[in-house]
Amino acid sequence: MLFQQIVINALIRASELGLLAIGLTVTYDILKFANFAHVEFACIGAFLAYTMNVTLGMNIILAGLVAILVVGVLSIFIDRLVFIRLRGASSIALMVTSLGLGIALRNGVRAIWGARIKGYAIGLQNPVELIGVRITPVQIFIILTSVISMVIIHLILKRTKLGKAMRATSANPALAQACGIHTERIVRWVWFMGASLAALGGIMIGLDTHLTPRMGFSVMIPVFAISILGGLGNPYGAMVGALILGLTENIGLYTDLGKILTLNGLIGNLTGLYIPTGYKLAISFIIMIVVLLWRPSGIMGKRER
Amino acid sequence: MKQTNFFGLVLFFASLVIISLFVASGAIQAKEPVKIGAIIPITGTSEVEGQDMSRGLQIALDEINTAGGVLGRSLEVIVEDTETRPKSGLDAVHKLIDINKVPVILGGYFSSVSLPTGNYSNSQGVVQLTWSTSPALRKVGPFFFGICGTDELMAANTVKFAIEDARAKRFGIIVDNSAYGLGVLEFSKREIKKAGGEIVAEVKYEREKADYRPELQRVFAQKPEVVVGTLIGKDARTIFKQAYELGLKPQSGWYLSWISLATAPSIPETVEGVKGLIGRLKGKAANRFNEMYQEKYGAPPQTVWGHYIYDAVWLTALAINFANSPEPKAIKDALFKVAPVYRGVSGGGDKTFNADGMQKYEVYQRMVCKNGKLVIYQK
Repeated sequence: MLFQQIVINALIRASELGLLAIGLTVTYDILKFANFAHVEFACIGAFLAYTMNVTLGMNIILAGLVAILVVGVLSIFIDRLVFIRLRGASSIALMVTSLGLGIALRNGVRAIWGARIKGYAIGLQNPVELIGVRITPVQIFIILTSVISMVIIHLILKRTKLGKAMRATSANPALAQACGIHTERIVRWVWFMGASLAALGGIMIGLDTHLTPRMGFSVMIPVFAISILGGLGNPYGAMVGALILGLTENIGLYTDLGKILTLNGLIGNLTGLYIPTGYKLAISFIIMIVVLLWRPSGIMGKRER
Repeated sequence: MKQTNFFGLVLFFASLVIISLFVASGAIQAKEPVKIGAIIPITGTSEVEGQDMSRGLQIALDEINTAGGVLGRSLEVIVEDTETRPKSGLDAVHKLIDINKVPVILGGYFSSVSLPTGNYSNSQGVVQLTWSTSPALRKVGPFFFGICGTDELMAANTVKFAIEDARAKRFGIIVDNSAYGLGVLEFSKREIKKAGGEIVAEVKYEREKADYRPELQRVFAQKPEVVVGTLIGKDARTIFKQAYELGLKPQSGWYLSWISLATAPSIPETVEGVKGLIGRLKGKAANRFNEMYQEKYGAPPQTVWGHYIYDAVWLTALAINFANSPEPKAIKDALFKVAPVYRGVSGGGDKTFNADGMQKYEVYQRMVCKNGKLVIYQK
């Protein structure tokens, strides 16, 4: 297989997971806890889009946009219902609450939509061949959507009042409030943005593969690995982390370690030495551990003194 | 005197009431169905196979109860969902044994579910009949029975199919990382080496993942002539879809153990020409089952697993009647006696058990997927 194909495969994976990881990391930056329920917003978004696309016959793009908005609003509702009562609680308490909430949401999806696999009404995608790389129109759409979303997030964070207020609230909530920033409103915006990004990521995964109630849970570990790798609280780090994870998963399994160890046959003859595929997840974890040992705050996180 | 008569009358009516109550309770008891349990993957990775199992079970139950049931009572099956997971399977078996007190449990399906559930049912002296195929099941215990040939037979026959059909020398192997998949891997490797073939790639994939492209890249990196192994349920659907999108296809084709596990849930275009084996379903009994299935559900069975559970229900009913008792120990002993005379609809029909309770014979059928349907392969 061509190297460029492996890079494209990694890019597709990074596009899907990156959106979820950015949402998680943005939420962490303001709310200061690891939200385990975050990946379930991906699942809810994917299933809402399914209902509108397949059951109601809506165009998939329109269905996706509506689903993203609904999930964003739902996340604010959940914050009002659950997390507002826990403002100031320890991050452990919040984390455990989010874990329970995640289980409830996952089973809620199962109760509403059932456990059977589902797919959007887009049919089987025939790949096109570009510079020796095979890619389907949906996969091109996934990569483009992800890039556009990341640019929008960058512009929101850097060029808008909301972005400045978010950064101020993240740095010092009390000072931000003293300066006239309505921090509760910022918290609501953060919930909306984080959950919407998760929903978008979920829809992208659904477009590329299929939908099941466990689709959010099944990406929880890679999404957390990406966020920690990039530096929790740093959306740019999440983008880089997603790329690293996508590349390591794809290149790691494909690389003949025998050739590397023998410098491609210069110092001996050892070929066919591959990492067992059962350890695919371990590749990301090993890299994450190495990065954390070298830089505990993640690749793009702030250095701790 | 009058007083004596009055008391006598009261005593007479009281005894009448008591006797009638006893008779009534006896009559109710006589009509009480014999209840057994079944653990089926109604949801999860293998929900397509689970649907066939539910339907095969219902067909057998209808037949048995129309023919008079067991011990003069109707037969009832309490069905629990394993969600295709060991933990949920074990919860289901605990419920069936501890609460419902069933003497027999049918199912398990995946070896990773059948092993823990079988260990528990065996420890409680409850009979379990499974159609899982790991050779490790042989060690579960005397109350545990397998009605489907184990992996060493299937894996060896699949490799043989690839060698005879494609004259394959360079093999890629892909299996799911479970007790079943690892069994297929081990026996496939043994058979390939025995035949003098070369294994150029060996891949174990984890269940329920969204992305299998790295695994596919690995399988196809060394350009195998054929790919053998086992792909299951919705993971098979993802794997075939991604292989199709990447344009990855073995030079001489896929040869899969229990091919219907892979093709039933997959998108038809992505599995066109995939070959493999299933338990043989030819014969009068199997044809009759297929007709009944078609008539009842308006479509043919998608997999072979409805056939296996059908045989499991019938074997249980025959064993209960033969033992003249719904007690697990009596049923266990009777199963060895009724199996050799029963002609079933799955795996060639002969359901005779070895001394360890596993299937003695299994006949496989070579199949190929054409236009989304499995048809008998003819070269």
